[in-house]
Amino acid sequence: MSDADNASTSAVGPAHPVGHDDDGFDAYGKDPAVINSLRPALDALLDRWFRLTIEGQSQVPAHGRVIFVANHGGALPWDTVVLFGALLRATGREVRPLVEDPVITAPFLGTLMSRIGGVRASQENATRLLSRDEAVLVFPEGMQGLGKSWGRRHQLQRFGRGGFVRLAVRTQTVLVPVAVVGGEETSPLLGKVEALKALLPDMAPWLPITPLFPLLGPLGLLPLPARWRIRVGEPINPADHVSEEGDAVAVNALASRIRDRIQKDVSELVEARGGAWL
Amino acid sequence: MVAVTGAFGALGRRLLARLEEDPTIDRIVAIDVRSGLSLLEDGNDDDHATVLLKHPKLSAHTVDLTTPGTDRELADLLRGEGAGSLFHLALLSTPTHHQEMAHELETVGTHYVLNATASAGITRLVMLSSTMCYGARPDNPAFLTEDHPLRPPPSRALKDKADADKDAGRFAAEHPEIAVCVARLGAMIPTAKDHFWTRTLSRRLVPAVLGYDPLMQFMHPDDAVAGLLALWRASARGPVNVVGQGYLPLSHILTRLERAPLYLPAGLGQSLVSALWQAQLIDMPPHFFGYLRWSWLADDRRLKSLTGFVAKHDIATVLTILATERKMMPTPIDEVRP
Repeated sequence: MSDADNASTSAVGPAHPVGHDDDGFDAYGKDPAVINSLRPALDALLDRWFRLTIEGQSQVPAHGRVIFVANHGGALPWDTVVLFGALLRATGREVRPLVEDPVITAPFLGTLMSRIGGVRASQENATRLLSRDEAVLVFPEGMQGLGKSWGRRHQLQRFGRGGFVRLAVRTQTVLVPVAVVGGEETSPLLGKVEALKALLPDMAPWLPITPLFPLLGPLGLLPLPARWRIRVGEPINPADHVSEEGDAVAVNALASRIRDRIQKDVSELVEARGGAWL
Repeated sequence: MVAVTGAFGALGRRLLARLEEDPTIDRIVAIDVRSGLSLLEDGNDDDHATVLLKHPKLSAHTVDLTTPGTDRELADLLRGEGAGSLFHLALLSTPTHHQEMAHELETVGTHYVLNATASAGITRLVMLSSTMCYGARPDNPAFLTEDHPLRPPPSRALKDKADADKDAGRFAAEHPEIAVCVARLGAMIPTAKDHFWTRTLSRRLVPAVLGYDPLMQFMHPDDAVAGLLALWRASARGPVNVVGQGYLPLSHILTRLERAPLYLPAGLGQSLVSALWQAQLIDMPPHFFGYLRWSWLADDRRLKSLTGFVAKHDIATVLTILATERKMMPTPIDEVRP
């Protein structure tokens, strides 16, 4: 065990004594061995299948705590995997995605998310990660983003209640807006079967219907070859906009401003991309 | 003068040994439902007089905390012996089908102990609880602090322990003159071979939940006892998590122990375990299945800040000890030291 990564001190209090155990796990279940073994497949997925391009990555702080704020879409959270891989390759930082309950608690999927660094979305978990100067990735749209129908693709939903802004103010962390395009075309949500919720309360709140799922069974969960685009925006210092965490009006105003910024970038990326698949 | 309830249990015997080594403690009052002085001598055939000669500080008393009105007997005993501190360890270390007895011992018995503590003028009380009382739930944070509410599953085994924990909290608020500390212990291995985690992880096939692989903590019982002593010496107050160093996913734990997982789907597995438990064919209460599915790691920052205590054995060492002892069976696991 090593406590080497506990050295950070911050306005959010002492870091938790979480190191890496003998098998390399951190206390949130991230496993470097899994990440390394997935790298070749991830590279192939991003380059050949998704033909990903990224711009603005030079604006990502090389060190220290940072909160990436991204839009969310698609029947399955492929954007989480793509952003993790893209930011790792472009900036060298292993971001910690904050994952919604229905995803992080799903069998297999939740475990996979944990192994690549995903953490259940909560203020408590995020605060601990930032106290260790980690890079956190948030999707303020939450499940509303994943539940968008095909007809509402590329339209950002409400950004929660500004929890990510309050988190940034409290932990004195810069916010970096990220626009991502490709999730909805990779896993288009055509409909939802919500009866599943009553049958399996611990599972996803709905069974997604995509062009291939459940038609092809588990094979239908494989990603369509959509073209992905990512634009990293200019970092925002929350202290320039919100003087205190309890100022709800200022918090919501900054959340809306970031949402509008990402929406503008998403629209531009969709326009510039041309065809979604070809 | 220090008194210990549950003194002849697996933890109690370890604690007695540590207290006997401490030159600042002149007398130890061992209280247990078992008249088990011979347990202290690892099965030697010495008579009680010989055993007492080997343990000159020890004064042993047989008390059954499930007997109505025991609080008065216990208070008289503690007052008569002049005890100033009490370790309350008389709680079950593994679930049992004898649920009525468990309730009488853990919930009502602890109530009696608290009554006696106030009546006898005890100034320091350290009592056991369990980090399992937080509950293993999908919405748990990565680390459960002492501020997190106790949300045990609807399992009698854990609800009784959680009720005793909460009762101690109320008692502490009513008696600020007493330093009441509730030590919430993490899962321990290796302990007696019939204890839940030791038994579960010693099986050739260990139940696991298909699609889930939670991080788990395990602690050596010697570290648990050292943690209890550190809390007592610091006159700690309130609930404190006492857990081992490190964590590993269940799958890696089983690999290190050379055990195979028996994967069961969550819903089916829960129903199967429930049916087998009802039929008294297994010793795993149905809601314990959740502890193999969701994370319930406890945060020990409070313990460290209050006492500076750090467990000596990390999880890798503890697993190695368990694996070694399992290979040496039928040697009783709880008699082997690292």
